[in-house]
Amino acid sequence: MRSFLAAVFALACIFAVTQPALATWGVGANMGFTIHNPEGPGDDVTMFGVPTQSNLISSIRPGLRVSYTGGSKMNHEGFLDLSYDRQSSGGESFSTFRLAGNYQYNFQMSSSPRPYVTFGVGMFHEGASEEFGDVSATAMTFGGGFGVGFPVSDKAGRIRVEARMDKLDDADDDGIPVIGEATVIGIGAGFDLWFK
Amino acid sequence: MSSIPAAPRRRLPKFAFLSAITIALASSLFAAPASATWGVGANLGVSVLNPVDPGESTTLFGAPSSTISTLRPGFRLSYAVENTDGEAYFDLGYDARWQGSESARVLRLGGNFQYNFGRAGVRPFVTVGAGILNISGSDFRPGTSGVLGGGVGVGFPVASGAGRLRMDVRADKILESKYQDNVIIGEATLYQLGLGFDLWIR
Repeated sequence: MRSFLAAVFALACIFAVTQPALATWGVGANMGFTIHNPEGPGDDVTMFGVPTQSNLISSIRPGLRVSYTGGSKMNHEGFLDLSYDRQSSGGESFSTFRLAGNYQYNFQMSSSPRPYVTFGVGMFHEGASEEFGDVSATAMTFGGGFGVGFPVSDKAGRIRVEARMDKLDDADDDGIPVIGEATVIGIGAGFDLWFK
Repeated sequence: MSSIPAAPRRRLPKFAFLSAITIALASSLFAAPASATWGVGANLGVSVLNPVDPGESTTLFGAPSSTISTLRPGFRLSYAVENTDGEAYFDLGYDARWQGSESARVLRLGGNFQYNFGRAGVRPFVTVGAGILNISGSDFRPGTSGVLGGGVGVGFPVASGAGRLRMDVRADKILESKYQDNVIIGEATLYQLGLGFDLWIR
């Protein structure tokens, strides 16, 4: 619940700093490397995804992005990083969901590429249902990063290159550990389509 | 003895891979490349994996689609020529994971041709393609299967034509991949219902 409220709060902040009258929405996708560095015992896990997806067998990094920006300069931007993955067969299922609200500041440059910094907070949910019972837990994530955006198609689109680091809290289900505390480092690329 | 069944195992994925390349290249030659446009896109949606051998169907959902979990390629690289109805694209999904001395990799790559009906606004389309599904890793034998399929959908232009939203349904046949007598990738039909979006890079 705490992580969900944090994500909602982050989103509310984003809407507050933009200008709804000049709002532009966008969708995008992410791809690249992710390094999952657990706090407890265990090896680091290096993952690569095209696109990325936040299940534990691929890359943990959200692969979809829903962006929102207000104002003609597009300096302030909010975005939801989102991934949902579910597999079900014969009454058993396994699902992961990652959702984070983020704020991004795009620096105004004389040249076309625009560097940016971003930070956000969100949640990572994991659940499994099988004949022996159900187990699920939700952990909080928070982090930030930086990158460069390259406008394309008369500013109707953007290509991104970025690096990011997130902290993933641990979470359990009635004492059963489900999600381990870890640091998640992402280096990748992405693209956005603005609905103008 | 083992060299005899090896021939069809290797020929089929090679055929599918060459088919994918041929379809993509042939599609790109439909008109003058001077007005060509490249695009990138993403896919999401539901897939149902229906194995030919005994076993239950598996329903998979991915937003975005992830090859290692939903088998559907999540990334699309398109090529189109302005003022023509044909379009070529690669469907691509790649997931890799390394932990200590263990690793696992899944690649799906398909070359497709898409024909868009109509001239403006909402454009229905049909698409056909061929490709490969390749798995490899430290704990299992690598395998490559051919994948053949097609589908129908509707595209909605957005952002003054710089982008497109898509809805589509598609069915693909995943062919069997064996090593000696062991099935690495089982024959199956993969049904997909999904959404997607494209950004045309102009």
